Amino acid sequence: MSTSLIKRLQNFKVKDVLEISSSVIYQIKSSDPVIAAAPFLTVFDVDVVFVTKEDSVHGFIGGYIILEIIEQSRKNAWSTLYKTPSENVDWKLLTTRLDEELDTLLRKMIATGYGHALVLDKDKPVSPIGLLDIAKFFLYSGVSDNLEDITIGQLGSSPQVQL
Amino acid sequence: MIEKRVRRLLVKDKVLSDRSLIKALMAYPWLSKLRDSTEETLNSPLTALPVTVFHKPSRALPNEGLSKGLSLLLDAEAKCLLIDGQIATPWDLVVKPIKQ
Repeated sequence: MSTSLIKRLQNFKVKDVLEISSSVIYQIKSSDPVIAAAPFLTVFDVDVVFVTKEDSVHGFIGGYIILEIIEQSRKNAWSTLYKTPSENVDWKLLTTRLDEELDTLLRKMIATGYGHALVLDKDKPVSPIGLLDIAKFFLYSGVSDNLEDITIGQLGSSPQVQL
Repeated sequence: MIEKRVRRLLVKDKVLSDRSLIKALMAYPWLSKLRDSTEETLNSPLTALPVTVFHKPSRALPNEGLSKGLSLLLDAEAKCLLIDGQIATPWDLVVKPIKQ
């Protein structure tokens, strides 16, 4: 753990990351088949598509979920992708607020294992936020500069990277 | 990927990700192959996939600092690093410094 990085992060909020990097929210309805997420994931090259139900966000669909469905329904993958409502397979959503401390968001990510979240402003979704956005923020804000207690050699994993 | 619950696999010196794989499977000609014969498509060798599915990671030295690592990662086609035979993803560089 880098205590100097944690100390530096206390000065920053989620909104600071969005000033450097924010994106459009792509969404489908909870009743839409899971295949409806595919064009957003492939054409717009986004990591996740949000699933909405009755004006609130129910969860998200990522490429991994679609691959899992294809692999697990080898005999009828195509019809499964077209018949399965998104709300049946989406993953629980991590949410954060514009004024939440960045350190708190990162701790939520550690607790859930999710690398992305939906940013809310008074319950209204404003942008997705992901690890690449935070990586850009670390770099361009200088928050990751000259940290003496950390080198990248301490951070790698075996070539099969966990979700 | 599914069996081991991973999103990225190192294939020789390139990275195959769930994201690039789904992009390939949802485009011509793999989309129609997948629709007509899922089993056969899934049993295809990785060499049958287009080369664009495999992305190049950046190489980094283990004694580099976090900013240098982040810079190399963001520049990398695969958005990950190879460090002395290990792989470092955005999760490793952003979350692990807080977690460890």
